[in-house]
Amino acid sequence: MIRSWRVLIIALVLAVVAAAPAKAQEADSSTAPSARANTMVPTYDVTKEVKIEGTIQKIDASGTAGPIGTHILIQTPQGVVDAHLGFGSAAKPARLGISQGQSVTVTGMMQNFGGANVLMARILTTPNHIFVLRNEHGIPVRGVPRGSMTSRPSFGSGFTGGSSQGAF
Amino acid sequence: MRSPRRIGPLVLIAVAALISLAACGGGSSGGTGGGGGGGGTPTPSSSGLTIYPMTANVPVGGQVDFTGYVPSDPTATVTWAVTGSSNGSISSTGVYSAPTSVPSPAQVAVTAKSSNFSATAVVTITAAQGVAVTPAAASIAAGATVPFSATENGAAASISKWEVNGTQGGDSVHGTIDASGNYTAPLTPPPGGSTVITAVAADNSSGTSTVTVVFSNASLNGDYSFSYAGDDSSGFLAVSGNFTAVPGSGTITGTEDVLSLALNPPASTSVAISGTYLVGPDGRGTVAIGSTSETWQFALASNQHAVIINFGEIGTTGAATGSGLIDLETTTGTPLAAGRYVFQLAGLDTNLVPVGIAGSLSSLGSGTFAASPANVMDINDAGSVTSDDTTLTGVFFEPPVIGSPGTIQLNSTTFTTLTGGTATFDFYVVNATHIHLIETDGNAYLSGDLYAAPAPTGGSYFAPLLQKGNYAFTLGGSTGSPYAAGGVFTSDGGTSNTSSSGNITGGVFDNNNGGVHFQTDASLSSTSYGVDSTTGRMTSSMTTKAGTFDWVGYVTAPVDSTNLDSVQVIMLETDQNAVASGTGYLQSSTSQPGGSFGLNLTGIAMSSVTEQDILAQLGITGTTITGTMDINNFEVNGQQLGLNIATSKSTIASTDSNGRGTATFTAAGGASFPVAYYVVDGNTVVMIETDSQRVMTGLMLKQF
Repeated sequence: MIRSWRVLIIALVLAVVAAAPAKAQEADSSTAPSARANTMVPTYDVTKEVKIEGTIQKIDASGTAGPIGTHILIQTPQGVVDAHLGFGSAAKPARLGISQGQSVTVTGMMQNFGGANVLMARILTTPNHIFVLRNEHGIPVRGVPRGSMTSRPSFGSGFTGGSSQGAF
Repeated sequence: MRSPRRIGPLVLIAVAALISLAACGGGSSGGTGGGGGGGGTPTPSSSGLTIYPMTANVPVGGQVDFTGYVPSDPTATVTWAVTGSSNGSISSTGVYSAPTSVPSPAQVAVTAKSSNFSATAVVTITAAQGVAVTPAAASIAAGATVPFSATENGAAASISKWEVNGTQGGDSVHGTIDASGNYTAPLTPPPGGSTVITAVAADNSSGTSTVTVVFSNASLNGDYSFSYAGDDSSGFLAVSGNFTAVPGSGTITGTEDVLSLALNPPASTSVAISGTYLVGPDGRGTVAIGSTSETWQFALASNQHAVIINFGEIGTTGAATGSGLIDLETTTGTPLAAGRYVFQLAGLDTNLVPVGIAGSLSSLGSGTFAASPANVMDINDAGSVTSDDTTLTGVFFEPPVIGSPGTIQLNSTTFTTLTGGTATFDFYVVNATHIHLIETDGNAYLSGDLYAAPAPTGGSYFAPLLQKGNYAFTLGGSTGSPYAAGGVFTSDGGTSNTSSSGNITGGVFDNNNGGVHFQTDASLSSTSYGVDSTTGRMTSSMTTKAGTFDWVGYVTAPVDSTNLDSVQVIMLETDQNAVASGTGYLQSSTSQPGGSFGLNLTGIAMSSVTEQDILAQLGITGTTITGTMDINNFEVNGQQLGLNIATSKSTIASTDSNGRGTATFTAAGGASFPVAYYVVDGNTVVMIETDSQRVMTGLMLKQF
């Protein structure tokens, strides 16, 4: 159980990363980010990012706490950090090639979920790769619940016309 | 496997229970002759085997034609038995023959078995009637023709007319019957799932038979358009196409576009498809497309519409999932004829972050859209929002041959940023007011829909475009976590007929952000909305005690030309920390759902981190839910077919005055789906899941 781990609040003692969104995100930010934030949900703020280094203590791909998605528990000198890598296929541990005991560096923003602090990871650095997991708005790469994004019924109420069905 | 010694008492208990059920309204005699009767709404069993009909009334010497069905194994053999030597007999094909005298008790248990499953129907034997119709009750496959006959006082009756549901000769909804008594069932079960056939004799005496119409291959018959979106481990899968279904051979042939990041290059092209299909009595069915190694599960709402999930594979990319719809194509009118249209697209940009688009286009007909600034689009590209882009224009090309896709090419400042130039889409026609879109240029990964929009009033749009009333809606997408929201908002229809603004006067709201942040039954505050006079683009926001978000909307014309209430609002959230889109539906009922339904849920699950897609056929009676569920948990090879609904753990609560209610659908063996639901009308319900296990949106369509 993740909550049972000694997840420490370390955001304040970690160095704030001078946010330098990866090249992949630079194109996005140029297009017009004048929109307001949805204040019903947490807002990602690159100016509040932190960068941690440590060893993967546990990989939890069926998240038992915090937001749905892939979590890794990272042992750092300051304690254990719960990092959320996103959701969907892009966040599958096998795709990222991560494993227990691996050294990683994670850049992200700490957010509180029901009393638990979770590092919403934007950049994951493993010994062999750098993964951009989120853009500067905190939106996960490939992180779309696909079915729910599409337009739904092609008909409205009482689809009664034009066939043998007739009225219900 | 149960021993026969143990089955006996269980059957008696089941008979007692079913008799009780029949006494509660399932067994009307249905006619002056008193024969037939029973039937009622064919509720799916939760025992793993369903009998159609579950109850029947039959006069002595009469006949009942039963159908047995195992949802988890649609081709399974069913065996039949009648307990008691004086209670009649039943053939190996389920044809029951009543005894020549009324037994005591008059209720007879008819048992069907298959493998480890069994179910019991109850037949009530009645006294001989003046006019006796054979069969006295029957389960009849949609589209099938079955001969009926009648006797009077033991001899062939002189029948002056045959009626179906009180209409001589019947009709297309309840089925038709000729002067010789040959009844042809409709392609879709009638309201309530059954109907009454009446034989009226020359002396004006009559007898009846109750027929339960069940879905069959004939229910998927003709030309259909389809679209679904999901995942195939690449993070993106969208499929659109069309097919022709031929019931006699159980085959489909057609064309589809597959768009997946797993393809190389990841750009869609249209390919021919062919395969086979099988529809079960409950409307659930399977399509196996051999040409693409694609498997679908679907649940028919009628012969016109079905909810569909990809059931585990698509040959081009391997394991897959997805949810969408199948719609009967109607060919009346010309797609993209001159007039205004609204559209919605969703997918990934070239950086593989989620993007949502909504907009409005004015077609001039003949392959061209109007020039700027008649058109407009909004885009939320992973939190970078570009609003009110009126540089949009484009061209389109009708399908070159029947069955192939047409092409739309769109240009705008926004599309240039998104795709590097022209955005090109294949389109598949549902009807003159609706087409499916799927991107083919490989520069972004988008799919969606385009609908006809209302014409402006006197050349301009005004606030009444969002007509007065309640709108049930759902939104789905992504924040830092998977995100879903739903509710009902109320429009005042504008402050005047020529005003450019109106008010959202309130409503109810739920959301599920990552299975962590929830709002439940929250009140929506009053807010305003505006409508652009040229394009009809509307802007508004939603506010609860927890916060606010902004959205743009595009209103469709009635998507069903026979139902002026079938208006939808395409919705796109325009916030920097949430990419979500969805649809609002003008609400015409707030009553709690009841009857038989097809259900689809789609979203992200905690147990697999990735997409799951759920399909079900449900029977809802009061607060009780029965039925069958199919689950595609594709990343863990978790395709589960024909799971019983655990009735004791499933329930539905009545609606509030705004049509919001709650329900829980639980599959036997574990998975439970608690939802907040919003009634659109008597046939349509939308919903979101409200627990920490999944973030899902859903749709439920009434069968009968």
